[in-house]
Amino acid sequence: MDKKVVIIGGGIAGLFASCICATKGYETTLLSYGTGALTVAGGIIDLYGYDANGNLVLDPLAHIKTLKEPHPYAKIGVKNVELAVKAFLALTHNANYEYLGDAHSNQLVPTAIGTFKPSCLTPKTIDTSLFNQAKHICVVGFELLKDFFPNLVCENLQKIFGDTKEVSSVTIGLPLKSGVEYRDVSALDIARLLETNLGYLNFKEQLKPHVKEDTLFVLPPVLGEEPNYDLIDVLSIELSSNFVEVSAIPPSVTGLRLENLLIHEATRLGVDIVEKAKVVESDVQRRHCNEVYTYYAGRKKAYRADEFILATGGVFGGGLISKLGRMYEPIFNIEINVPQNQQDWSYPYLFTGKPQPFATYGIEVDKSLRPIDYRKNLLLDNVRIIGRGLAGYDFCFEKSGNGVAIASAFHAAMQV
Amino acid sequence: MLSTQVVIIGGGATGAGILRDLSMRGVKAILVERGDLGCGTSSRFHGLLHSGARYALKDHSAAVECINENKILRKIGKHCVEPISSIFIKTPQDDDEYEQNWLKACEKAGISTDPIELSRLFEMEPKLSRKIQAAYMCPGAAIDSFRMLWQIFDSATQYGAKTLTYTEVIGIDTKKGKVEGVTVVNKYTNEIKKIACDYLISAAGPWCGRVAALADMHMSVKPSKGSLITFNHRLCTNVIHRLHKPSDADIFVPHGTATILGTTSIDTHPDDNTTSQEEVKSMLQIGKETFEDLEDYRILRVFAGCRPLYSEGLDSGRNTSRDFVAIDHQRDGLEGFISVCGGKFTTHRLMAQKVCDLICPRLGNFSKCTTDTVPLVEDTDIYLKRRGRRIFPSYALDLTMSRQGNKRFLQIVNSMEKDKEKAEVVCECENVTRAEIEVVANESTTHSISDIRRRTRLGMGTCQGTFCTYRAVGAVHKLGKAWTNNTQLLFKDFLEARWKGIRPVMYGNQMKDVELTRGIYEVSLNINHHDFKS
Repeated sequence: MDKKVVIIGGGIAGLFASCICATKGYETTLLSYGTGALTVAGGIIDLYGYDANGNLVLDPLAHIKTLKEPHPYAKIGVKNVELAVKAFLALTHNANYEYLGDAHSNQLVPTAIGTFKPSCLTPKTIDTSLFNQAKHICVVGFELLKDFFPNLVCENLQKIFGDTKEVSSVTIGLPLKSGVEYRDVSALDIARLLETNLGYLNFKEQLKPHVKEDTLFVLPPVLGEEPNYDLIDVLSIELSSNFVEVSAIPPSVTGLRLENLLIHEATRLGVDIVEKAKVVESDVQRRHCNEVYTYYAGRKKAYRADEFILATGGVFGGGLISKLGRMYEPIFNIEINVPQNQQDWSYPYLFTGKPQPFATYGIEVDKSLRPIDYRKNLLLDNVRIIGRGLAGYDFCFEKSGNGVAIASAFHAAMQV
Repeated sequence: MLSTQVVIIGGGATGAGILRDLSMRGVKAILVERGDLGCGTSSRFHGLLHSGARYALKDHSAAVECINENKILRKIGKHCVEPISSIFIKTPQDDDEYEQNWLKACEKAGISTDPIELSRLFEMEPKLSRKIQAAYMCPGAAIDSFRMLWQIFDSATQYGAKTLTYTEVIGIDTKKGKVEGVTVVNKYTNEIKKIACDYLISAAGPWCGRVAALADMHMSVKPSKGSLITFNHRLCTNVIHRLHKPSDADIFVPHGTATILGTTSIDTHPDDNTTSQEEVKSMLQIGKETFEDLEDYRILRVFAGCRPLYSEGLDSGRNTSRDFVAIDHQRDGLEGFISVCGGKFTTHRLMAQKVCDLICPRLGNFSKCTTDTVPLVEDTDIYLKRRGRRIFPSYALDLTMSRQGNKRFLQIVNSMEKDKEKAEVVCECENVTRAEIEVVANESTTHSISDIRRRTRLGMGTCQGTFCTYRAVGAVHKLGKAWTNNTQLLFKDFLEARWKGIRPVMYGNQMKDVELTRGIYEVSLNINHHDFKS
């Protein structure tokens, strides 16, 4: 009989792990409740951007090799991180939405405030190499789009490029409904509109006069809602220009594309995705989990499996619960070792040039990602922790969030 | 050199009140404030418009002053007062004898105390503990101190007053035992200048001692810090007081969709506005006697301010009188210098009146005080409101009108009519539009996003700046002001200011918000680094 795996959590880690498990032929069930952080954080894979002193890392994989426990990468091992990156690239390639980049180099991705951030794998809509060859950079904003300020991006990019490139900005007006009875316009609305003929033609015609020799158009993430490159391919040809999307504030359209892609892939591979399945407790005997239980609409349902993968996220995702002077994982009742005094959780400044203590709080695990207590005793022999719930790293500071997610997902899936 | 009749030091409620009063009497006055208007004690309290009942038993005259001023502020500052009531509740922990004596004292002071049947009480305030034994309705209310200060300054300006913010007094110039003026420095330009004056009034609150020391005078100020907790919920319809001797964490004041619980009382130095975890824990513990499930509610942030208590003796904290004092430094041999210290926000107007009554005759001005009858701002223009309604996003209209007054509101409506994108809501929690932000950002007293916050409530709601900081910086950057150039600094400054109040209570849902903030600003926008590409 096939091995049964239950994965709890439908963010990038859970979805990617479910794809790997299904590929290996396991009977895989994914229990998800709400959505993961992909629609917040963006669909680019940060592997490792800054070292502990805040210095830019050029070769993420080489640096990961030097990391010590309790960093999750040190537990997973550099070989497995490399394999995970390869598996992710292969998955996107097979789904006709291939990602660019490799684990040995960081790319500098433009942001919605005209800065750059290091990231490792990006969709083709964020091809950072295009900055090198561009002579003209044109930042494109949209009328009514609330969360994008082309002037601000333009000015800060000009500061960075100085005399080497000419940076300008343009604002496009699209037939969007607005006014007292309409809601705000987000990048997602524009992405959807550009997938229609009306929206596309309007956009193209208004951009045309701004095309110069070697022009790179810098856009909010609006190049389509679906995980494909149809829009960017046809735009690049018809306007003989290049296009790059920025890393922006939520809702993240690039993240949504990746989420859609992973859901399509998981479904195609036969993963049973159960939505609105909030796992509330577990049946554990002699450190072995037999079942987990969901509770919805007054009904309790059991999910039995041989192996469980916990991908419920950190505090933001609800995978960890924080109280005054306490933090715990609610499904398996794992206590997280945190300081009693709330003042010790953080530094007086939020952006302080070093990792924040509270960001590193999470579940301690062994090399197979199974939870252990502070004496390093194994707590559960068939439950593996992946993604943001892991202890020992500040993904915001080092820029490693989606990287740890896919590496731990891959490693856990290979272990079961 | 600038020259005026009176220089006032301190842009809090006391200074603002004196500035308006003097100007209305026709005395020329300049107010200097080292930070922004109302950035000290005057915005760091519950936002409670006292009925006087809290003081009735201990201090009869303070109670009488409170109830009188309460009535006056509700009239002249109606746009700043949420006209609710205050309910005094007696829990099993509170003394029976106190209740009876308190009722008599309130009656003597002319403060109404209508008993409420418990069944009706729990209908009105369903979250209250069912252990409560008695309740009385008094005429307290919630007051928006930022808005009121802003309106007092606006009003004073119309009468010819001048206000210099971010201007710190670094010297008091005297000649032959008489004040001749002050030397000030501007925080942003570092420019040093002198202002000549006939009279100097220090209304520097807890910093009064330091200001007096500039002229080698002694002021015995004992700053007493009070911490407050802001909950992200309206826990009660009315203000809830404990019916006992004034103590820690015994007042809940609802403001819009939030509730403020306070306070503590700790002797400290005037710049201390930190809150410790012990204070939070102890306030929650006491607060639970009023609302039993208090710990289940999300805390937005904590903040603290220093009461400017004046005491010549050994008393400190809650034993010190909450009354105000006006010390004429002539007693120590310096003519033309008065320090005003102590008091409460509720009675700031009366304090100002008393001080002005004292010094105006010395300046040869014998006008009567009129601050008790003339409203702070003119009434809402109905036609303007109708114009606004056609273009304003849902809830923002009334809020913006009462925040900004007719003159600024007209600019806002004009701007929206010209460009509909200006009607965009930048701060969704507090309903602040882009047009409002632009109008306030264009004021000469605005130098930062925090200044805009104090005038509009931007970033003070549920998200604590997570979403609106990006939008606000984007919006002000377009204006091309000197202070809007360094956008990375604007982001950091504002988010760090918000962080300060979140840090001591970063757990539960508020921690989720912090993770989201970091996710956006650190991960997606990388505001912590400057990695140049070229």
